[in-house]
Amino acid sequence: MAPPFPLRQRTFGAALAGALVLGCSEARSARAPDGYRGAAVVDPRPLPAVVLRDVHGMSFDLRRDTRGYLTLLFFGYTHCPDVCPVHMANLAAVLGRLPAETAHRVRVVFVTTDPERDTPARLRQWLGEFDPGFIGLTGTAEALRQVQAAAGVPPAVKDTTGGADYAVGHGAQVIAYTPDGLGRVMYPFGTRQSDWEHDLPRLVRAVPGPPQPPTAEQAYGFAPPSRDAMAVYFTLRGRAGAPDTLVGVEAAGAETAALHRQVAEGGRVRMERVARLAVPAGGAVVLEPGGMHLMVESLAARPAAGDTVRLRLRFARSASVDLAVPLRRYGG
Amino acid sequence: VKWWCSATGAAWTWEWQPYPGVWLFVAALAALYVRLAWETAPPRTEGWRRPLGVLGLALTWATLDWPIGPLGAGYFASVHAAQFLLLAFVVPPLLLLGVDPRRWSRLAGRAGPALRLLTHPLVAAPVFNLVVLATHLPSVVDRAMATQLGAFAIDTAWLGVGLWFWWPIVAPVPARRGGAPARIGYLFVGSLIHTALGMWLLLSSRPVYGVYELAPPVGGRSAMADQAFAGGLMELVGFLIILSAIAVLFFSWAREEEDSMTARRVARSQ
Repeated sequence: MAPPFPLRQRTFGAALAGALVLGCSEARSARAPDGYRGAAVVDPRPLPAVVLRDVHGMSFDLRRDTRGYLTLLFFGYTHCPDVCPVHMANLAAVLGRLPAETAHRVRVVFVTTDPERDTPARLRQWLGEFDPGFIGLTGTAEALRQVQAAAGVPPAVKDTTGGADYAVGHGAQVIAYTPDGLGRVMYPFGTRQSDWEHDLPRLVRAVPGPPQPPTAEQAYGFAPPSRDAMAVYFTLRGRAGAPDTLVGVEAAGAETAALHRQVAEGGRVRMERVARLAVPAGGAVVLEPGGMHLMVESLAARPAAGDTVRLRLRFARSASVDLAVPLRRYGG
Repeated sequence: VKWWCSATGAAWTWEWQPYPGVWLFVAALAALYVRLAWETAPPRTEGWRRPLGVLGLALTWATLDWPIGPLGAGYFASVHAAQFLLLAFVVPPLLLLGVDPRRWSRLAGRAGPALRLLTHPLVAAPVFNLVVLATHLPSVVDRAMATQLGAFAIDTAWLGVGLWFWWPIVAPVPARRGGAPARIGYLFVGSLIHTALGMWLLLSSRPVYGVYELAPPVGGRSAMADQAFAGGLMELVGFLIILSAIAVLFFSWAREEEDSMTARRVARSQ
């Protein structure tokens, strides 16, 4: 698939990106033989096994937290004047038009190549302009270099000739990792919405991966009196034919988050920590006051009623699930 | 040096850029126009004609040069649509209205049958619609706007067929029968394709032109919003221009009819 017009004059970033993609990309690509409009990767690599930070400050395990999804991985920066906003805008537009059952099986992961300027807040605001569901990741310069190398993308290059308003040369391709976790197709700059619309449903169905994670719903919590601890409740529903186990929870802005069970013993009630919580296939597990609940501890700041606490639920077999928990007033 | 505005894929900057090709083209057009359209020998061309010609030339320059030229060539479908409307619907009637009547008479004497054939409404309307259609096909636009030569061809084609289209309406030569109702019908037929194109852009569910879909963003407007705006411009502004021309023709015709009826009544009463 050729870009519809030759881009002969680009900014430094885009020019270098083009060179990186076309000339010296480590992940070799060829015309896709199986009907994709993107370029097939000759030697598909697995998603990099790396843990970065997302826009809420939570850890994001690139491989584990995207299991079973079609993951579209892109390296860019929010001050990019051309390639990055065009890719993000086109992906957001197409995902908005695809049937929900397809769109919900796609994760767009934007890894910054400019960690100095791309703070989590900046990443969240910029990606939110396209689609709040896009995952923005940052990390140390070394971690970012490693993840680019693992993805087969040459490391980004900073051009400081423009002073503070510098450009960053980076790979211009979006790598599509099918649900089995292998990067099979590559989309250079010039990929149009019609190309994405053609390929995404096929890629979602292409190679079956792990099952979709359980759904989490009816989440709520109570605004705590202090920063020490806060209880959160929700319901987990297992997918039909796909039992799973909740093995970990991370809460944004808190040191720990753990499952607790209320146990009555000899007229006294005590809390017992639960390491794993089985979610039966097609069944539901309800976390509610007086029973199983999630205890979020050592909060960075005391949230108030009306605030939202973000959780990442990690499962043994499937990808993680992000949950926004609205806080209520006690008795409210 | 870039001679003509075309799509480059470079991020937009408000830093002025020279386009010498545009200057040369406008200068040549102005020189040719002054030579062909205006009388230098006394009595001078009527006072209201020259400003119209100058306005037509100035609008041509503004449409093709920075910033409208590059914005339309490589960033906004809506600016491209505005360029089309200016070059095909606004500039041509202005240039034709600016011609000295004595020049028309001289031209009629020289060109004769060829001019009569070429400017016949049954030739001018299909040619106009065909060129408008061809220059809006995505495959043509995406290829042409990426090169200076292609962009030059599209811009000058619009101006050229615009003059061709408006000739039977504005130019008094060659004299034709039919009067205002026929001209109104001609305008209606001539506006069919651009109206359909406008509707297509307005209602498309995805970007039709790669050149604008993949253009570096300017000002945060999405490719779809820009495309819908372009379609709206072609629909609404194009319709208003045609409607204005139809209104002018109709009221002129109505006044002439009224004058002739009055003259007949006066003649009968005497």
